[in-house]
Amino acid sequence: MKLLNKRNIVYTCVIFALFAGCVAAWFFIRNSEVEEAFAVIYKNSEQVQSVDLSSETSEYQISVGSAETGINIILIKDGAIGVISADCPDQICVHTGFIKNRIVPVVCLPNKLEIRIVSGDKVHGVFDAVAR
Amino acid sequence: MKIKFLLLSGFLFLFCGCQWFQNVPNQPQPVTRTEYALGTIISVRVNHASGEIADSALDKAFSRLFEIERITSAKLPDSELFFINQNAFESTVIVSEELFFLLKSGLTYAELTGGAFDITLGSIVDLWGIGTNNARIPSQSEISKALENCGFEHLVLNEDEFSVRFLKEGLKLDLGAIAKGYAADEMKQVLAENGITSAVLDLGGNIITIGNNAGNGWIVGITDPLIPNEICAKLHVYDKTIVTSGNYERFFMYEDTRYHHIFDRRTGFPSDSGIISATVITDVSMTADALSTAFFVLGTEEAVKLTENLSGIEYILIDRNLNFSISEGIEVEIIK
Repeated sequence: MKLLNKRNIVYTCVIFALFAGCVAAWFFIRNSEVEEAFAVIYKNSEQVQSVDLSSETSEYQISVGSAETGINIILIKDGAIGVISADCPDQICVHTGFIKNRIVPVVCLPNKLEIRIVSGDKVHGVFDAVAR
Repeated sequence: MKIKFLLLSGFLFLFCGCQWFQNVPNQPQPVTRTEYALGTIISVRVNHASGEIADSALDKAFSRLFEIERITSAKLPDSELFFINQNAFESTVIVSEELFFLLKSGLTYAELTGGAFDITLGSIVDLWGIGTNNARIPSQSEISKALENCGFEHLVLNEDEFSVRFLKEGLKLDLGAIAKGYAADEMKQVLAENGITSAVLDLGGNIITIGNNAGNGWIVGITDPLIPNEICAKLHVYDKTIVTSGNYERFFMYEDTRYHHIFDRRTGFPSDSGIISATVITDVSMTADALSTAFFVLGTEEAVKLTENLSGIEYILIDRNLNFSISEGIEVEIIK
């Protein structure tokens, strides 16, 4: 019974190296998961539509609202979402531009519309929250 | 011999692997909930190993939020504040203990800041209509008339009977500058009472944190006031609230001039103190909410002077030339 011969020690090292490699790979995969960008459009406090920006490859527009409640035209393109035209007086929503992270939402207060990226733990890279 | 050895090694491999996975602690998982209230989006993220406990705590915290909205909203026709605005000049109105506390706090902050923070500017807010379809630049005579109906000295509170009385007929209360802060404090308390030790709450950009984030501080960014899609500073906090008042949240442009939603009671116009972003970092979110507004109106020099008499208040003030004034008690990394 010579379990501790040279060959067995090599085998043991190889097996443990494989085990360590599996653990390292598990950690790497867990920490490098691509964060999804999932946008939710709210109108009058209610969710009207959600868009998975990370899987959208086509470019398209959504019209939200009516003449009575105010109309915002929203464009989804290149993994980002933004308002391209609105009948509100201040046009802040249009000037906000396109968003693809949770730093700031697109807000149209006159038309009670808000677009917010809601998925992921981190707001943008390292940030847990952004004061504004 | 070789087979025996491989079997033995395989067993050892599995044994170690099982032990290792067993010893991985039950990691808290983030649960996020987003709702619309107080005229903005409220988003809360809690970290807890039990999704059930996290959901239950979030249910209770959001119920509390909606309770506060029903009391403090100046727009909901069935809110307590709405009723006061309609009736407190004609007769004394008895209010709930909670609303009385908020009004009393509002008066305290108004006195502390010499009126830079004032909950009685409802007439001016309505006149300008910033953030609504009726936003416009009023005439000077309209502004002068509206200013006559403003001023916290026209609000009388009686603590013995929790009553409110207006001394001016057109007085209109607006708790927009402290309601979110108060709601943040209350939601934090509800979450803590229900077993949450790690969370970050975002009430329309007012941030409040509970505990730490997996042993590390929460990393909070401060919005760049000139490019609101970007961050200009970051800080690490534990159990703190961070509230920013800026001229980029609600505004309209006319002939290259920005008319924003933070008013100066002395002029009836949007504040033009030179500050374009005022951030307060402290323990109580209602205090941070009120002081960030007051600092914005006061300007850097007066704001810094005011903090000399206050304890536990940290600040980041940014003027229109992007000069930063940062209190000594907080470490801030300026990103640009």
